Amino acid sequence: MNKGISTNARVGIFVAVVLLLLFWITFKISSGTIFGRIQGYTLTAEFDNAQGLNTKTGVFIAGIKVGYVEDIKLADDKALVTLRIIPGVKIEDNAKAVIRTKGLLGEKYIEIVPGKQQAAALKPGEQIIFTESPPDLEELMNKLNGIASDVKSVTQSLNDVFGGSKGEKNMRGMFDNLNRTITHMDRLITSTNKNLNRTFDSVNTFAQALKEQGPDILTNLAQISGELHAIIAENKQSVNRTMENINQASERLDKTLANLEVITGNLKEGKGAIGKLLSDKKTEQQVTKAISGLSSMVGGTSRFRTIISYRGEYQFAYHNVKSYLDLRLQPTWDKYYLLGIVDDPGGYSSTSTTYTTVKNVNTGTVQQTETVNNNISNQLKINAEIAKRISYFTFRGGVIESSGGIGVDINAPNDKAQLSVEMFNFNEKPYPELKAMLSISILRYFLLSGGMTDIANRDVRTWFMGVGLKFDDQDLKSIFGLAASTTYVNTK
Amino acid sequence: MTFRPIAIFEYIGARFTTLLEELGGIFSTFLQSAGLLFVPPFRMRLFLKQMEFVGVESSFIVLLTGAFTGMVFALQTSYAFRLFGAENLIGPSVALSLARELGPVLTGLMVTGRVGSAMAAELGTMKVTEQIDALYTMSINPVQYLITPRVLSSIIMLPMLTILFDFIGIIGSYFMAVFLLGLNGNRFISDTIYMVDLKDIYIGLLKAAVFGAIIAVVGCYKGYFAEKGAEGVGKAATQAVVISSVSILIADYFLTALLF
Amino acid sequence: MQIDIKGLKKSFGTNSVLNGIDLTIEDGKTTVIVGQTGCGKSVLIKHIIGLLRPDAGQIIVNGADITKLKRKEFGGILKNFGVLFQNSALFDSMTVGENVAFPLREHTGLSPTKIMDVVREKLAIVGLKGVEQLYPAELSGGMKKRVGLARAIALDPQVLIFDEPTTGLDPVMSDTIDNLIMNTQKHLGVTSIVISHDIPGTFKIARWIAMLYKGKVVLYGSPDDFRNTQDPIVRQFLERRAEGPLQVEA
Ligand SMILES: Nc1ncnc2c1ncn2[C@@H]1O[C@H](COP(=O)(O)OP(=O)(O)OP(=O)(O)O)[C@@H](O)[C@H]1O
Ligand SMILES: [Mg+2]
Repeated sequence: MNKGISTNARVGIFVAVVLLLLFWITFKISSGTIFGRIQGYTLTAEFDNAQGLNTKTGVFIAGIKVGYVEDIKLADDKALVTLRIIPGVKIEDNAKAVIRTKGLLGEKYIEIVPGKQQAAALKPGEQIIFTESPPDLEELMNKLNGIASDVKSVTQSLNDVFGGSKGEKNMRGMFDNLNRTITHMDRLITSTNKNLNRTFDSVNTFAQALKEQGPDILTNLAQISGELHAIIAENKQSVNRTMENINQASERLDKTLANLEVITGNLKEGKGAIGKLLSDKKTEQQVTKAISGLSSMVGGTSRFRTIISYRGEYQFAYHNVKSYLDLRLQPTWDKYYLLGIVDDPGGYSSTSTTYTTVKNVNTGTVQQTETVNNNISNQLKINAEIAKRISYFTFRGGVIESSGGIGVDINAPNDKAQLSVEMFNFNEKPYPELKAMLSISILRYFLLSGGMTDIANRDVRTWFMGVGLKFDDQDLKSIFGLAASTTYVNTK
Repeated sequence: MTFRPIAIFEYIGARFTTLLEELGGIFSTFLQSAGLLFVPPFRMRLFLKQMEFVGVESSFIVLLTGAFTGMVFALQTSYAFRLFGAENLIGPSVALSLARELGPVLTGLMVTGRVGSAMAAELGTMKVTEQIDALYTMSINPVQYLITPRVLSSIIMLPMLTILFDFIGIIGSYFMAVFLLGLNGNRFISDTIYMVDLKDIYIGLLKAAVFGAIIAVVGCYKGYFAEKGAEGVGKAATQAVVISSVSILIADYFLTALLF
Repeated sequence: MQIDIKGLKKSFGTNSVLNGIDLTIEDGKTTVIVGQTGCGKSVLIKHIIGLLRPDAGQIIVNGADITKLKRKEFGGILKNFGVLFQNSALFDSMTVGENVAFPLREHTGLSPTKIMDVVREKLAIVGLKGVEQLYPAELSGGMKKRVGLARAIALDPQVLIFDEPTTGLDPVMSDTIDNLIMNTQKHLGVTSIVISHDIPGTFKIARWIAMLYKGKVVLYGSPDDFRNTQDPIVRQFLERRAEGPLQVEA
């Protein structure tokens, strides 16, 4: 029955262990007060509004509890709050005491935003001069207004770049050029049908090849690039023109970026609520920490990236090319904002009639000519999306092709391939436009894509094949200095 | 048999009287055993033995249930709190409910099942085999000899087991939250410490002490007044568990209303 | 210590067990109580030790009516009693040694080694050796009875109350126990109340015999009185016949 250890010993060990646990818990919870005997020192702080504060409300530095509110008194229309700080924690005399809220509806706590390190530490009983009370509702509304005007100015600057007759003309011109390029390519590809077939065969057997003939894949890839090389070399002129156009476009994008720079500058300086949020050292630290934590997972991709991509999609049913130019601002690996323009030749056709009045000089009569234009209007559409990535899935939503839409991208583990499904334009057709696309990035800058658009609407849906280019800010820097693709291809 | 409406009231009245009798018996057993605590002789060995039985030997089952309770509780609350992005409340809510309610109540119920029934069965057997009479003929007060140590050690050990339950439960929820739900461990701890007051824990322990008294007094009372051989002993054990469990839940309600 | 029982009545519900018992237990002598099973012998002695309270009647010990005593006040009297229960009533959570040592530990200031000596001595008297470490569950019925006896005599009490000490023992062992009762009576002047179904043993140890029937004492006398009685009930009982005025209760 005793199993070697006597009853006394067993009970003794049990009681000792439990009392130790209780002592430990007590000590942990009272953090700094041992058996109710208060330790540490007090500081005071004056707040305009101490609503929601209680004695025992926690005081935190960098999210770590360093004390609690010991007393709250009224002093000349202000709330004089006494803070008990645990021993060993130094608070500089230029630190700031801020009343914050946990979560949306959570309880209040006091955050000490540390001041400069070289400042003198506050002595027991002294006052923290800088304080910030929680905003009341009115103030909050003002801030929201500020956010709204910020957003407005962003759209304004975007409008300045892309909108207006001049902007539109520029863009249209650029797209025309791009279009032509693609058409050239299209023709080229059609003429070199044999090559094309081989290429697509290669793509088709890609999956199989992966399985069986690893080394052959490389050969195939070499073939593809060789073909691309041939195509581009044969058509150097139009490629050059494309690059020129891209140059032009990039100039404009430069402007956009400049505008964005102003905005981000504002943000940096802490103008507006978002700005405040961003400029807040704490937030920044937290964000940086979060990012650095994640970056170990995703490699070096956690830096702020700007990605510009162009895509042309050849629509088999309509024999035309739909173009996309996207600017992707990616502050963290798992989040990006996308601004883009879509040139859709199949847009929405409308008919307009132009009346031209010509005064016949000879006869003196006024003749009116009636021209019926089969306008394809609304060709230029806008993309503006917010995207959030969770592991292999990216969820995005916002404005897709000038209408509300949502989409999801599924990435292959190495991000080289992507399956996207998006849905937009919920109003104008019997079914929303549903688009499914598989895209593969090859040779770093190129994109191959294929899929089907408007799947749900039987009579207008079409298969498409696409080619695209993709650069990020780093690439742009290097590419713009060089004779672009030729150089690249030559080195190959 | 004719139906007499008055029979219902007679039945209820009889049940009510039995209930009152039972309550009176339990209460007087408690008072007797408590009173005899201060009358010599003091038998340390009996206390220690009961402490071992109630405390040490219950620790495994308490640790087991505590760990799983903490884990399950963290998992369940996480669903709700995630909806509001309030994951930081998982730790505190687990810790608070453990300290205030789940710790004492579940420990009480576990110990009732293990110890309360055993006490009723043991004393019941002693009763029907005349061992209690034998004690009496040896001029030993059976209440003092049998019941007082059981009640006292339960009152002492239940809070201790509750500390174990609370502690392992919080560890379980920490494990669940940090390793399986991916929350930050240090945040979890600091949030928990921030939200939980010593008062919460101590009041929980006070509750546990009351539950300990209930378990032992009911178990001993039922055993001490067991009747009719093996069947009576079995009945005593079952009733002890039922009465203790219900009493613990009722007492918990009143203690919560009174103390918090 | 003389015990006078006067007009003792006890019934459980409608079952009237004792119906006016008048009996005197002579000091320093052995009184054997006999009677049919279920006639109330055990109930009678439970009254003497205060475990049961009579509905009517008195039990006078040392000139005081103990039926009026509170349970607590019984303690003083009980210290002089050694009781063997019909089914031994050993503490099954304790070893044999601890069972016998129990009264010694509780009521004497003897050292543990001294107590162990006494325990061994008392167990030897009832013919047991080397069983101190066993638990009651590990013993035979007869061994339990003898451990119970050893426990009852551990404190060398002035009054021994034995409920069927020899039931379940073989004849040789029964005679050993009978000799034990006779010797303690002879040498120490102990008052013994023995309940027995063993007629030869009864005649051997008894100074007085009382026979209970229908809640009353039908015959009280010396063994010779019993041998010579013409009472048909007593005769049938002593001659252990099934036929006669004594009926087995349904
Ligand atoms: N606690 C009790 N409650 C109710 N009835 C009882 C109780 N104790 C004894 N009786 C009843 O009293 C009667 C006498 O019982 P008792 O034990 O005295 O018999 P007994 O003479 O000792 O028989 P045996 O020789 O078999 O031991 C029985 O009918 C029994 O049912
Ligand atoms: Mg009997």
